[in-house]
Amino acid sequence: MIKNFNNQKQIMNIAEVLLLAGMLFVLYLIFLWVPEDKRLGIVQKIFYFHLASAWTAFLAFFIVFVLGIIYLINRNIQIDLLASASAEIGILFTTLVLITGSLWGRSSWNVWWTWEPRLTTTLILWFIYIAYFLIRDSIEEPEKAARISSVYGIIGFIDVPIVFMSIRWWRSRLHPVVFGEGQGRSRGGMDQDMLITLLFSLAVFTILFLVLLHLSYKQKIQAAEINSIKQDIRHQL
Amino acid sequence: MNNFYRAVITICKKELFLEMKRKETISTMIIFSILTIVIFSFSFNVEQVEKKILFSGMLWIMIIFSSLLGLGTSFKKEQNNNTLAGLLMAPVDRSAIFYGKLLANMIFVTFVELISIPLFLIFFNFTITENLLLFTVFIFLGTLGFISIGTFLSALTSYSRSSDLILPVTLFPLSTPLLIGSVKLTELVINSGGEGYSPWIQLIIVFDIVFLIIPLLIFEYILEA
Repeated sequence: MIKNFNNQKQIMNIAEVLLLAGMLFVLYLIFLWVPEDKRLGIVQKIFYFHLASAWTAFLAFFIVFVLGIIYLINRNIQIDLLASASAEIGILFTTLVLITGSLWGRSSWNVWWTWEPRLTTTLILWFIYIAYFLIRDSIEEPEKAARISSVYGIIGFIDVPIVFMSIRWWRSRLHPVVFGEGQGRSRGGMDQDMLITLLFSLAVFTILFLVLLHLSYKQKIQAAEINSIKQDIRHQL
Repeated sequence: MNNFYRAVITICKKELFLEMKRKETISTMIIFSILTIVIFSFSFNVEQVEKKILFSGMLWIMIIFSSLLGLGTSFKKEQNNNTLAGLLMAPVDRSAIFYGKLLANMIFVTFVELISIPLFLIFFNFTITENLLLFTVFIFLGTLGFISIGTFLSALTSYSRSSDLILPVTLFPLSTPLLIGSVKLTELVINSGGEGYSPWIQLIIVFDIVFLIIPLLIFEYILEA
């Protein structure tokens, strides 16, 4: 167990160094290397944070979904703690998406908020996973809380594409299509350099996610241990 | 399968019997529906505004809020005398409990709608003569989806300390697609005789099917002794 922990620590140290270097490099790419957008100007640079946050949030919720299924099969409480750590970080990044999106929207659409499909879906996504914690924290026994929040994590994730489709039909689109076939263009609306910067940004955000996930998971494991020790003491008294 | 079907009917009958004895859920739901109508008339100045714009939104708010009252107690009441344990001991698939409750809730809400929607039309001086069948079908499909996910979440949140608070907070975001679809469909029926409804009806049917089938696979994990 202790040896395993040391191994983990070494890997984490490497990941943290990698993260720091990657962050500095991506900041260099975003602010010094990549050309400014002709039409949107310097504000467009928030895009590299905005899209990467959205990607990370989605990855986090996908992990909650997968871990939910795994938990229901093998009933390992650690899996559930990992899922809840992932949901927590997912909410953090969804909040970042909403904030950066709002700032960007103000400068390019001249409004702080608009009921556009992706914005609205993100807001609903935020509500769905806030509710994940409301349910979780309102159930006393940890086993029950784990089971119920796993089921909710699965349902919530299945609901997201339906929410997105419905809102897309409900409102027309303002967002450009970034990858693949764009409107009237053969290949999206993205410059080569911008694409490279974006991909690096996605990679660094993913490493950031993994480091945060590990930290949060460790903290949750320790909290669970402290709780069980507390209960032991209470029994002995 | 036959056994499963019988269990569903039995549970539904039990719910109906209980409700016939107590009469509290349905009567509260009806009174609440009428109250929402009164609140709408105060807050929207319905006499002067173009009614067609507000109509479908108001109608669905009334349906959803009154349904919420019935959904909230659906599973919570099984905990009072730990009757849930009895249900769980029955030698049938757990999802039969879900479908039984779903059927009963659907009957309750449909009953309430049969009273509240005509009242809504009378109070707001609104008539639907054409496309009444289409209107009814849309209301039914919307209600079915809302009650399926609602019954599911009612079971899910019944373990929570504050289930009355948690149920709406989980139900509203998850049922967004259904709300959008239902409001749009009702709006289309009133304003254009139901033209251009096919994407919305597809959406609602997909939602209904997804949340009628998922419980079959996953419901047993919610109710564990």
